[in-house]
Amino acid sequence: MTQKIIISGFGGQGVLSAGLLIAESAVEEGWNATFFPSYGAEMRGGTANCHVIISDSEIASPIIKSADTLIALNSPSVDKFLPFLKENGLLLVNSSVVSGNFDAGTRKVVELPLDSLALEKLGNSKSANVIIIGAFAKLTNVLKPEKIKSAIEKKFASKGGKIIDMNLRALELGAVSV
Amino acid sequence: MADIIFDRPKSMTSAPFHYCPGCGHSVIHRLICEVIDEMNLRGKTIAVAPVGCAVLAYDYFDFDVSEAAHGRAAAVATGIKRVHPDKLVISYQGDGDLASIGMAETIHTANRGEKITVIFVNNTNYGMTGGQMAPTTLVGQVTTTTPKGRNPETEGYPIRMAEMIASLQAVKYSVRTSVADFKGIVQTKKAIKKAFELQLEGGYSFVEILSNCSTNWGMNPVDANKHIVEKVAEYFPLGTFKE
Amino acid sequence: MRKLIKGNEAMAEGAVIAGCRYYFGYPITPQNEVPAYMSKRLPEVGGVFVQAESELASINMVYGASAAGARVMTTTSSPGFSLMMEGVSYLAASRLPCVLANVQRGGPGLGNIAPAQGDYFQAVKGGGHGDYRLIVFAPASPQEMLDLTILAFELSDKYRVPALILSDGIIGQMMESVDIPENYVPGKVDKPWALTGAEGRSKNVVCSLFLDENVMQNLNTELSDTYEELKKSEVRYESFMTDDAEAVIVAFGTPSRIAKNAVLRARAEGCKAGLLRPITIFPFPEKEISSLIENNVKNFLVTEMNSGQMLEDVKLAVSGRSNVHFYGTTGGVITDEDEMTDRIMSICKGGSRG
Repeated sequence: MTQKIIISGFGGQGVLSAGLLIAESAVEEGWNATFFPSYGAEMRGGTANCHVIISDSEIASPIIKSADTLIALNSPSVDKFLPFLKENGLLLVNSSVVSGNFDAGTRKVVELPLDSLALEKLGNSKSANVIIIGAFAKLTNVLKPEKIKSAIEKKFASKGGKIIDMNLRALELGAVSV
Repeated sequence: MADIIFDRPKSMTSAPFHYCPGCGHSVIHRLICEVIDEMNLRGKTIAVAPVGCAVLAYDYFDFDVSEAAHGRAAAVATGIKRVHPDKLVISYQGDGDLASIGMAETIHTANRGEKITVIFVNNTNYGMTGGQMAPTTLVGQVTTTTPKGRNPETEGYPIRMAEMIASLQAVKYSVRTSVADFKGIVQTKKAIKKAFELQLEGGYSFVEILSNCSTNWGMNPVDANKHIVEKVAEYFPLGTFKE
Repeated sequence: MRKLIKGNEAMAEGAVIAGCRYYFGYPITPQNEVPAYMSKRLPEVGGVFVQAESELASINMVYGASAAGARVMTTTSSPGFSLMMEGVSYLAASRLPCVLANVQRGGPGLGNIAPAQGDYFQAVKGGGHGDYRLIVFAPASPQEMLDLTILAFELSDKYRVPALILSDGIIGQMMESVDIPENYVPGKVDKPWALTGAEGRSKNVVCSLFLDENVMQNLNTELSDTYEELKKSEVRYESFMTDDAEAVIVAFGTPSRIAKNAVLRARAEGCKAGLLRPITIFPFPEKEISSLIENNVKNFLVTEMNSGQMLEDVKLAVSGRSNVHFYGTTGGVITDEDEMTDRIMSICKGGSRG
């Protein structure tokens, strides 16, 4: 099993931490994982992306040429990375900010209004990036929810129970929304 | 048998100086070694030699010495002191080394307040390479690269290092002395001692010493020393700028 | 302990594990995680971090700390390593052990911050003035960033030759699970030459100035002998599916990872491909190349993220006995897996591409 995921969006949308969470969950699973971030000047507001590969065997290149999943948190990300998504790949889109004007061809497209979901159901938009991981896990079945949960608990251990709880709820919300 | 009333300091080797007759480097080397003897620091001293006339300083100092690339003595001294915070670390540099190619290291080492002592020998030119203009060359001074004398319109003015260093907050001591006459030599020795003491108390200290370069100045040593007192010290005033 | 960390952080932790307690560095992308890590980590273990005013200062602080007998490190990226060249020559000449790292980016000039391998010549052929070499490691994973940094400290102390970790933006920036040794005991090497204060002994002098040309020649001979010793004893490489290979890709760092995929894809199509991955690029695994030729390898495909630098070392090792092909990308463009696969396949089929 190898799953190659590109996550892309504006700097500040939690692109890198979402990618990292997927990689960490895979490690919890006992798999191999690579995480490669764009490391340019996009601290906030620019485009940020990362390539995450999770696999039960050795991972050669950490750079993705042909992705199984594209998680696009804004419109430029769809334009930029759709060509790298396999013909039968999964495109997960944040429909709160991405307009439907793209041709995904034969790919499976799942749209989720992350920002409004987060605001309405969680009270703030901070965990929007975790909602989409919940959706990703449900749709692809490659990561067990309990492994993601334990990755979240470790990741936010220093931030306290409230933050952990919010992220766990976001994960759950993503899973039930698709 | 007569008593010995004058001898070589214990911290100094018996190697004959390669310096030109009358050169201030020999005197300054000796003063450093006398102070190290008096403070009983020979086994605790690590010096850094520059690139310039004093490049062979380690032939004369009988304590641990590292050479440094041109201008980088203060950075090398930083590395040594951070490893051995209990040692006396001395960076010995000339004007091209310290105030030209090594200006960044000089300023930033002082600005970090590295607990070292910088001995800065200012003879207003590049001695070893044959007498080119230095950042400290006086206005009008003829050198091999200022054949008509230093012109401030195109070469700017000599840099007063002791004053510049004194302007930095972390600096504990910045002083300018000369070894052009007896009084100056006595003051220089006092300044070196003070600088070492302040270093060991945990501060950065800087001793700028006006010294002659009779060969490149085209003077005999006596006239060269007179030139320091009458002319050089006019632009580079002696004194303590920070203590 | 197994942890998902960045290559740059793995390298920094490797240094700490190896007993490095002094780090001097200047910010430059893509290696900024190292100074950030060291500024936090070293004080925890009684060490010292100094942010230097330039790479010139960093490398000379390294010179001072090494002369003082300590295990010391600096890291930078391509333009910064160029600035350090003078100091590296002095370190090599003064036989001062230390570990340096160049997390390469696109060049020449200011270039960009994308991953590249254009500094191979600079790393393995000298770079600074004079006749010297470094022990140069080419890690291909965060795990190797850690492991090879530890080894670099040990070998640098043993041979009194500065060691260099020649990495690139991908290996530095990527995260992967890394086994972090918990009970490593750094090697103890006597340094009677170190500057520690001459209490109770005659003075030590660390320098590289020898005005007598015969004395200077003696130092050069001593250095050459040491480099020969390194060639004999410290060559490291990984062979991947080379046993029955007829065409072998030679690649280090990032392209070597991509090459593994290319080899597998080529094999699936019936092309007997393999990979030779030099782990030390000085000393270079030239003997291994010879034995591959004796084992019937008719073609080599050198793949680098430069315009053909290691290629020259491979050609020297091959000495006309086999064909040597080349596939390179430059300026920060990453090796393309499809392209590499096509090339090795076409070589297998007897095509002349490459």
